[in-house]
Amino acid sequence: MLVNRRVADAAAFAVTPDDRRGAALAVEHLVELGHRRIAHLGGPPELSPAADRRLGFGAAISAAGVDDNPSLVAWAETFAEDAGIAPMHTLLNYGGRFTAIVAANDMLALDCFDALRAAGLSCPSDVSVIGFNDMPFAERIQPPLTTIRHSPYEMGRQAAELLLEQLADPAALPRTVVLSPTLVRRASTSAPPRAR
Amino acid sequence: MLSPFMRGKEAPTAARPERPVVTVRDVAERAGVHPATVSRVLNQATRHLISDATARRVERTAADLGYQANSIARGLRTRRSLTIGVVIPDLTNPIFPPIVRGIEDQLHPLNYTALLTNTDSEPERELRGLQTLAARQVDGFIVTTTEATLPAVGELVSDGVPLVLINRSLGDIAGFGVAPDDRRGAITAVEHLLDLGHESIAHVGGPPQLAPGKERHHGFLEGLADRGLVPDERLVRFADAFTGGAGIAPTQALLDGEVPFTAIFAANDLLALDCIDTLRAAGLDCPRDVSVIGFNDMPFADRFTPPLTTIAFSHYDIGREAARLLMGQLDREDTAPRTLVLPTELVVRGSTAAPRRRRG
Repeated sequence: MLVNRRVADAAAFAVTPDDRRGAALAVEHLVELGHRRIAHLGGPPELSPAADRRLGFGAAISAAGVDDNPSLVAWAETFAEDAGIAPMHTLLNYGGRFTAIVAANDMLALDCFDALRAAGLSCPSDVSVIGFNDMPFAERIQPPLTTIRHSPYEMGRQAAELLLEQLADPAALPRTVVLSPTLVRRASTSAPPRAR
Repeated sequence: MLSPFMRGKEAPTAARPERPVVTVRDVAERAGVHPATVSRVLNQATRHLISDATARRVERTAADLGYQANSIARGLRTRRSLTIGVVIPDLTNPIFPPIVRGIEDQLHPLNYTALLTNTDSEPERELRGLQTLAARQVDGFIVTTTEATLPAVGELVSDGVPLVLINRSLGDIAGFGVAPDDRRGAITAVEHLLDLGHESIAHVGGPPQLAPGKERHHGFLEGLADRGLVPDERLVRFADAFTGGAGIAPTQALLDGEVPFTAIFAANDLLALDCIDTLRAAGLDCPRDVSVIGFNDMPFADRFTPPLTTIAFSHYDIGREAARLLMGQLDREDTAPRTLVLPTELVVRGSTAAPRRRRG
């Protein structure tokens, strides 16, 4: 029983958020605010949430009529706090210009805040940042984090349910339950600066 | 050999025909490496992390000593399940994840696994948690319970079950515990507010039936008394729980009371956030109108608005030390029951300032 992970051929029971859709929601929100140059701070690409969020990001960028520019994508080695500092450094110093970042989770979004501040940039007036997860206290941090919400509690509940089902019926066919994410607008995203 | 559940009692007259247990530690010692290295070598998934020469030496040593890596087989032979029962109130309280990490990081190299259960500080769920885990043959417990469950905890301890209580006082029970210095931390919080010039300080306390609530309240009173101040009991209000939202009613009660105050010492950070929200809803700004200090230095406390002044201690160390004390009991090396008290530290951020004026 996989939670928050997915296998490509759906040969295992799994519960995940719709990571692609979530990342697309993030991009659509930024595009709607007027952003065109949008960077992606990805998670470790060997983990399905990171890979799927990257795919959703790319698809939504292309759908908005913007090139999915590889110089605007960097990867963190883990999903933990501080793992985003190095790839943010790469984006800021060697990447293309951007006015917004889609971070692959909220912890990495915090690293975006810190790296931007260290570079003399402010969020959201210079660069908008959107996270993923709506982790506890995301509304209390400065600036309150715009993010993609899903329910980890519900994910756990459904995983337990599917596990009990397998115990009751060993012949049950594997399936992946995909939970729908929603956009939570807070203060870390705004319209892009007019001239940069 | 004594079973781990018989420690402290008379040894059975007919000893079970058992071979001595060869542990990862034994292998590590003989091979001259760290126990974590042994674990990595003996785990197919991590063997590649260790150099070939070292890995071969460890494997040879393990074979020579008759080390048995299969935990089920070993459990049968030694009556150990290599699992530890962890009973906590609520993993979504942000102080518990680092505690659990501390426990696991300490257990993992020794091949122990933690089984976790949440109780929401409900005594009958605490009892059920202890029973359920005992039925699964855990080798010991690390628990945080209400006072109502302490008699049951005491029974386990006097039965010789390895157990460590965290963040709680064992009272009269001669057992093992790990806790922050709640009282000293509370005194430090009061001293900080007094040093800033506050004269009328309120306390939003935790539930007094929980040791941290009681100890921090006592520390609050002691901190005032140390400076020759007489605490006004109308400025003390207790929350029903240590969880977010529980601090709103007591803060509102303080605001509705007749005694003006310029600062609040909240018994933990979640209650401090409720204080700040309730003040804001009443049109009062923290720290301009009222200073607020919390306790715990929970994750993101530095990122809140305002950044929270608080009393910090290492939750990770609480978990790690608890697991260390438990392992000492399991190895039957450590037989001196004691409570390890970890130091606290004042972290000054933006939620405390000098009083602007007396309110009221």
